[in-house]
Amino acid sequence: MDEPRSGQLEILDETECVKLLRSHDLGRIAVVDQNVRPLIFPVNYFFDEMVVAFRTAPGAKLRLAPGAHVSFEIDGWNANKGIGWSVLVKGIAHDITHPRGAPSGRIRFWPVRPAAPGSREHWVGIQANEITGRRFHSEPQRFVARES
Amino acid sequence: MSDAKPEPQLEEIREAECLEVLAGNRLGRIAIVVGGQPLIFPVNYALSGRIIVFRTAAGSKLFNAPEARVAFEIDGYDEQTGVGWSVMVQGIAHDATESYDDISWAAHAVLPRPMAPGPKPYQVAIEPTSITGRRFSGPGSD
Repeated sequence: MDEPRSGQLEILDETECVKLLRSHDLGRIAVVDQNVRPLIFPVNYFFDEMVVAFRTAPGAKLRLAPGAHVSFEIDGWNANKGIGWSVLVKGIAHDITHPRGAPSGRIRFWPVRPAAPGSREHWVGIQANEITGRRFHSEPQRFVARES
Repeated sequence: MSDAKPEPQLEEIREAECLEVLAGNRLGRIAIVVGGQPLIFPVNYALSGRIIVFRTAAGSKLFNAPEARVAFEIDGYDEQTGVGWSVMVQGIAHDATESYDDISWAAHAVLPRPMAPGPKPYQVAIEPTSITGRRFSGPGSD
């Protein structure tokens, strides 16, 4: 990847976003509750075939995600280089705990490894319908008089 | 599998400790809902009391709607110790840029430093309605 120039904000194409999604395993899902309040939860995931798959125990994610529009995000910040990036996946989540066809059956064999303990026997797949990303090279921090 | 496998633990983090963790970090993510679709953006923030403050290019359009309900999250994971944690703030976002209510006043007391380039003229304050956190340790789920 070419590095963006200082002060530049760069749009990542889908190929680059997919590369980043494949090379990480911790992200965050946002869901919306019945009062239109968003919630964010970190999840360990595996990405392939335009699907973000994660495992979960019964709770808010399992109650709110299946059948709903959700977002999934990963990001990174390299303090030495001053480079930051983020990728956002928008899609519809599906409960694939009991697969009904070949694609969801296959996903159940993906290496989704929750770092959190406990039984996480429910599988959720987010079928991506839009993947966007951006990367920036931080401007040098300017001197701010208020912080003298 | 070894008999010495440590006992997995999942614990709630109390609000006072959540605030300490929030005060000790500067990068989080905000979730907003636009037309029923939740969206997530990373933001650099600062904490003023219990109020999360960040700067953005998108101002009133997104954050001045009455009852602009948002969620804000930070998390961390230490691969050496296997300890992971997350804190979530749910609340109402206010465009504090040119307002002088109590929330905005508190927001003006801190100076979030966005690392991303570009003008970010709007200052947004999240008034929390709930602050929750959890921490886990030990081996992950099989």
